Amino acid sequence: MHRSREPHLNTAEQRPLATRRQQPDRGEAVYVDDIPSPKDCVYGAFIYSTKPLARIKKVDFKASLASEKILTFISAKDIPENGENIGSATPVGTEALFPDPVANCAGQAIGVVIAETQRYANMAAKQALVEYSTEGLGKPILTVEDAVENNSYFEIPSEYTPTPVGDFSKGMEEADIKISSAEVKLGSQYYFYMETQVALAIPDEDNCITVYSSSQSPEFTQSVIARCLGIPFHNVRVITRRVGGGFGGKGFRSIPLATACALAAYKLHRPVRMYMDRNTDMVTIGGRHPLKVKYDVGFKSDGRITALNLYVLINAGITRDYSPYFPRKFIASIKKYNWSNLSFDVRLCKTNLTSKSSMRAPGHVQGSFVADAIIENVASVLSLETNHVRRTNLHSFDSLMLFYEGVNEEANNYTLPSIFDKLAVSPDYQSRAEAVRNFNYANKWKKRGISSVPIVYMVYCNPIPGRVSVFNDASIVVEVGGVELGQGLWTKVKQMTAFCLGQLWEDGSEKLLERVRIIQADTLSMVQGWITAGSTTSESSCAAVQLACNVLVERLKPLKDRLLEEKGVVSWDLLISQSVKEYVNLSASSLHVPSQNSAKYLIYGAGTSEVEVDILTGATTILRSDISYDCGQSLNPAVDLGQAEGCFVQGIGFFLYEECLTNSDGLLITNNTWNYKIPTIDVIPKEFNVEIINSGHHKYRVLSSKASGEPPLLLAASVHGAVREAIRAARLDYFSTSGGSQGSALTFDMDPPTTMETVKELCGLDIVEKYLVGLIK
Amino acid sequence: MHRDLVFAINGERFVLSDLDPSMTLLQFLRTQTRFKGPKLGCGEGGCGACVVLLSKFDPITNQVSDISVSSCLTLLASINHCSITTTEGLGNTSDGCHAIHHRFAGFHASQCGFCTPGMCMSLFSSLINADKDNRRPKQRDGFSKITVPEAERAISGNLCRCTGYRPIVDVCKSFVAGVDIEDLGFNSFQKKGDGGDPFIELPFYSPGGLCTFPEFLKTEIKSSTPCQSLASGRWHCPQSIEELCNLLNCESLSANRVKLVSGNTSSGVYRELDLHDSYIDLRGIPEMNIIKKDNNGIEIGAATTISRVIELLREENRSTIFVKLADHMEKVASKFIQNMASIGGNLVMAQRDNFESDIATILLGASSTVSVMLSSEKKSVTLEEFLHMPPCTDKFLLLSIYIPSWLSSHNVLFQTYRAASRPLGNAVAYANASFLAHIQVDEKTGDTILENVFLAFGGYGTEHASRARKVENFLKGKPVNTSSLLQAVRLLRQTLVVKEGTRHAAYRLSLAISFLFKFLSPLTKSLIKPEENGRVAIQRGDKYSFTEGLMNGNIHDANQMLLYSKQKVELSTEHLPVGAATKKTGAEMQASGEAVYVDDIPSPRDCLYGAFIYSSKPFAHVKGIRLSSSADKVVSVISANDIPKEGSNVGACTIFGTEPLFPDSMVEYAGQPIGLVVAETQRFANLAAGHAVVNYSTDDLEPPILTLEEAVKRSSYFVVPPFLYPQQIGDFSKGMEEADHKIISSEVSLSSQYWFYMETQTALAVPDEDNSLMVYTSSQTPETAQNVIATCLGIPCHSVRVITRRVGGGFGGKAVKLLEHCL
Repeated sequence: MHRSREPHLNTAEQRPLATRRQQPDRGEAVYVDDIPSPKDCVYGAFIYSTKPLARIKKVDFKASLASEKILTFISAKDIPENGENIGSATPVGTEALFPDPVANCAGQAIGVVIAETQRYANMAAKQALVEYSTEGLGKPILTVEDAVENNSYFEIPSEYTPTPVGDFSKGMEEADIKISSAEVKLGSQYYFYMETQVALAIPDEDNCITVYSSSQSPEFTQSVIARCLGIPFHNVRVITRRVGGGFGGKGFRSIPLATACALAAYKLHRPVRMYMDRNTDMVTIGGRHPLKVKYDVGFKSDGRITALNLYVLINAGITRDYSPYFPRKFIASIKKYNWSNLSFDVRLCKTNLTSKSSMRAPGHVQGSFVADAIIENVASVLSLETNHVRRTNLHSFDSLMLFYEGVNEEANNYTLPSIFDKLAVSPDYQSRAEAVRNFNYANKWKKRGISSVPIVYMVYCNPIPGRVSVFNDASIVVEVGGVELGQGLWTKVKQMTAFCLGQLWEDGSEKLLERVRIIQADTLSMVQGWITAGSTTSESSCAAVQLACNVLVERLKPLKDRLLEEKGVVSWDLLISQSVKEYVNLSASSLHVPSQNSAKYLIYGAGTSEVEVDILTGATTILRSDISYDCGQSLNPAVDLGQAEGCFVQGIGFFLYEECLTNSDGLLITNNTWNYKIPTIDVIPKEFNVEIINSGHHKYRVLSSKASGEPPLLLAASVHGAVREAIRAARLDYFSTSGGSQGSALTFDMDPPTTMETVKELCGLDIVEKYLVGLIK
Repeated sequence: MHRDLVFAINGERFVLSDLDPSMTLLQFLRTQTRFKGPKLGCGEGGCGACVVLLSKFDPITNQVSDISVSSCLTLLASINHCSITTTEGLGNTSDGCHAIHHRFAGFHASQCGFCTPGMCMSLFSSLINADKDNRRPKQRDGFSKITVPEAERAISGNLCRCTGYRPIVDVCKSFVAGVDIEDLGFNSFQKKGDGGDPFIELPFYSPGGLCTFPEFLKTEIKSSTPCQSLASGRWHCPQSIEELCNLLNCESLSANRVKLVSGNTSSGVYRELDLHDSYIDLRGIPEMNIIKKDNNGIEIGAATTISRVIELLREENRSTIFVKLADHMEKVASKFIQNMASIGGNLVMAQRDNFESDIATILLGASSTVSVMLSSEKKSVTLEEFLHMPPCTDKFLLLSIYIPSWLSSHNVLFQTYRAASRPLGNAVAYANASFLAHIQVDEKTGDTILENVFLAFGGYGTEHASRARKVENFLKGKPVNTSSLLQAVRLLRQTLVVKEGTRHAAYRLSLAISFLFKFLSPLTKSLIKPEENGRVAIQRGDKYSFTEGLMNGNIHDANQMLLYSKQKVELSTEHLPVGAATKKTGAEMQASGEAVYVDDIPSPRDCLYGAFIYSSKPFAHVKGIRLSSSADKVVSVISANDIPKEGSNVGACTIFGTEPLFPDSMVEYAGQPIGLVVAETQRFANLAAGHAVVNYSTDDLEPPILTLEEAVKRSSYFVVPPFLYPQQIGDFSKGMEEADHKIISSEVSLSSQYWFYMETQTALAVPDEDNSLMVYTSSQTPETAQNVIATCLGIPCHSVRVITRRVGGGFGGKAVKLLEHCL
């Protein structure tokens, strides 16, 4: 291969660079698959089981061109003698890397095919002929109903068991009206991070290995790899610079691939890269927890709810993974309304499906949605406006404190009622609701709906380490436990560092932001990194940096004061150059451990959406969405705004478009971009207004800020609610021509995702014929 | 004759004589070049993360065409004589970024950033094509000729999972000349004017500022003849039907797995299950590239891309049928797929693989015919006949498609329909349809009579698109009214048979009915027509009056994008084991040879090797360096001239001062490095450096100082700082006076010693993102190395990571004598 160059740019009028922090758009940012392959690097691809419960007897390969490319096949047999068959570990459970020899779900990785290029490895994996045997294994459990029948559950540790409120039976006695055994079902959702699971493992001297992994949890990855290979943790360096989208899918689900990759590299003494193809990623990774809820609710005629009992069956898949944390989060979001008395029976079903894991707002989005589905049902039964019933059951500060026991909150920071009133009961809302009614009156083949959703979201803060060091040239380098996933963690940490060190100057005159560089997560450099999840890692990383900076400030302050006396003016550069001469320790590490008062807190927000549905095709157009989100004092409004908007659109995907379907063996069949549709530019709201509310002083928060990474996703349920309202309008028309009752027109199950076919089914598949027949009569 | 594959990437020429013909452009870019901007997101053309700009040059018209393509589906062998531009080609942080890059950053439009390079290229493609269009008026400085709808659609096939798209739309819109700056969302370009009024200062965009096709490639194309095969004969490019037939009948080929390709986009739908030995590229066959227009219709070669078909149909806008077909085709796949996919390929997938093709259905409704070649025999059949023939094989080829324009018929109604989860396409439809009718109005009754009607349905769970003949026959000659419509609908329900196992069968059938209803209801007098929707009733008193549209415009058009957005944010200002005789860490390893030294680190791909050229003169002007003729493997020579403007000529640094890396013009000692020869291998670099001829001049220069005596004579000293000057003890003169004997002026001299560390000086520098650098060095002073490198390059210390794991002997020689090699 020869190359020669010639100038490519000719007349480009380009301006000099103002800042060098924004890399991803120019393609300069280095993701794991962008790291140049080391010499002799080989590539791996997973072969996965297509049976839900079967013994793997043999793996052969078809005679084909692609099979000729196979260098070797790595499976459970290749795990070193002193290592363990372990593919992932969370604080609540571990799972095997490869079946030995029983595969427990369709989509479980059986082994890794190794070839000279990624394409050869992917093609070769398709040539696999797996011989299964189900002898003596019994029937797989694929549904929550199967799990109940077979008593197949994961235990929920007592510290994660949610607490009931009040006395359900007493509350039911107070009710005027009761609804019994109503059901809500929710499906799964796939992460669809743009960068699929990827790792590059490079074996090194002395039984060491370096693994580049796109991961939200380098520390967990390090421990699993070390245990699998049977080597000490300090032999494993896991490096994560940036992640091309995580959304929870690279919290624990990224560990098996990194471990398999490390195992292959360790065994072959060659670098191994694995970059999963999209289909395999979709089939093997799992996703959001599907669940089924049965409830009984009692309420007064004015819409006030007196009691709620829930029977919740959560489909956790085959391993514990993150699932034991799920019920607590689900119930925390159920509690956003004042149910007066709340009881529940929550079960974590173990099934022969791929393990379900945390996905953006896990448990919360389902809990919040179920709460609103119950409110909508109550409103239907009472023929009341749904937003009115929502407002009636919003918490007072006292009831909020009863439901969220142990959370430290001040009454004047409970902003939800005012946020909700502005968006959902204001005169502006009323006139829009009126316009929607008028539109529906005047239009036969299109219907509109408008709906609002309030949210109360409880976040938990984890301990996070940090280290801040200053070089001889006064440039600053920062390491934190948190990983940059695109959520702006580095940006906020940079700002925090500049702020904290800048405090040496009362007027903040030293502009330190551009002096700060955040470097990649490296498990040998920064211990106790934990996991980047739960929306709070940015602020906790900031808090860690704040602690480290405080130490530096304390060391630098005396010198600064002395220099100030001598010279009258002291710059950062002068301060640092003198510190170097005087041997001031210019590096400080810290571990931020949240206090009891700050370990968990509440976040509020509301959203209103208006939609139009085409009765003839079932197509939904989101005409307008308004969301209002209380971010405390935002650490970076651009970042928080971006999180709110992006989250909302991912929520639209969950509620309207994204459908995870499996075959009779539980193998995912919606496994590519052809049949799994995430939102695109043409389906987002036609008008989209977002308000990031800057609310007061929050003494237990990091600089009064609140998290933004997950809660806004729940607001997308307003779109679902609006579609329900539009369908109600269509059904009133339909039932008036067919002579059905108003009750059956208004009350119907509408479980997400509400795809085109669901909308049309609910509006009546035979609507054209009905209409024509009606005219002839 | 096998040819080399020649193409350009970001202006660099690439020549490949042998390659795996199944290699994709993306695979090549990511594994064999330094261009890693294009990302692999799905590998099936469904996400846009791998989009690059593909430019072609037509030597006859002297025109360059620029299109966006999915590099994950584009086969490398298919880009002979093409130029590829990736996001790196638009600009970079060292030489300056492109306005697109700046704006993605400033509008907060990149979060995880994995989709962004593809987004940039989709947008760039739209901008460059709009700005090349001479029919459009010139726009004011810094803006594009692109329109708002075009700007919004520029990235319509690209997926983003983080941002929710709104900020990306704002980036796209920011290039539109007429855009209301107020309508652009939250960004960092907003400034406050003197009067306190906010204004936006956008990074300057210069249309046509980037050359997408290098001149050398144009010259090569002009002097070349069509080639017959590439990739050592594994990629065939037949230039006629005869050549193709010969290839297909050739025994050596038929024993192999051969694939016939045009755009190769079908591999996005039907993922390949095995590798192929060789490929036949159909794009060079004239019969498959034919474009013939006349008054009655248009004949389009099967290898024509979908986007070209759309253009051709739009050019013939006299035919409303063509316009409607073009409108519909816009929704088939994303722009970057339409640009590669051939219309013939789409129809062959519909025919052979039962692909739920919209194109087959809409062309069927328009009564299209096709020209096919079956066992070397050409014939013309209707599209419907073609679809129902035995599946296409290599011996059964689709050559061209003929679409009638229906210009000579009066009272023709034509409509096409689709229902899919994405209004703008990039989603296979649940069902599709196209209807054509000749109508006549009964003068007495005022009823609309259907003289003739074609009803084509597809995608609803049938093998092939087909005509609903029973319904057609029923409707023929009848007036359109409630009763005939109801009967037609009922008949349609019986006629359409859905394959077993089809999902949402009932829904798809109801769609077919909705489509028919949408088509025919406007022809009735009494029915409420779907087209009348969008009207809103406003209550005035107790009367309703109907007005078109809502107060916020005609927003019920699902094809329209984000029209309005608002972002409101409030800004606020550690004894045992110590002491125990433990073994030396890693001693065994070092003995066994496992220890990794700098030069043992596997070279990254594209790694180059350097060797110093050093001065053989002690004191001289360097007039020039000439590499001997054998040095053709040299990539470059690096000297003081290459030190960045912001950097400084520093090669070593101690507390007493610095020394230059390279002499600016004058060497001051023999053995001083003058420059660095960079080559593909260390051997080549060393050879070239050894053979370099340096032209010195000692004109006007004093003789060099080579001995201590000379230095003393010429007072050539370094000053020893007082704090380092050893302390004198007592009084020498006084002591001498006390002496009994004296020896005066006796001499001892000591010579030098070379360290002879077993590992010579070595370094490996790997440039990294954001102007940072990782340097593996065998050094005793990594911190100093870091400082020197940073100073030399003019970048902050935090951008330089110096890693020293072990030193293969140092003895002080790797403390100050630090040599750095920067690639």
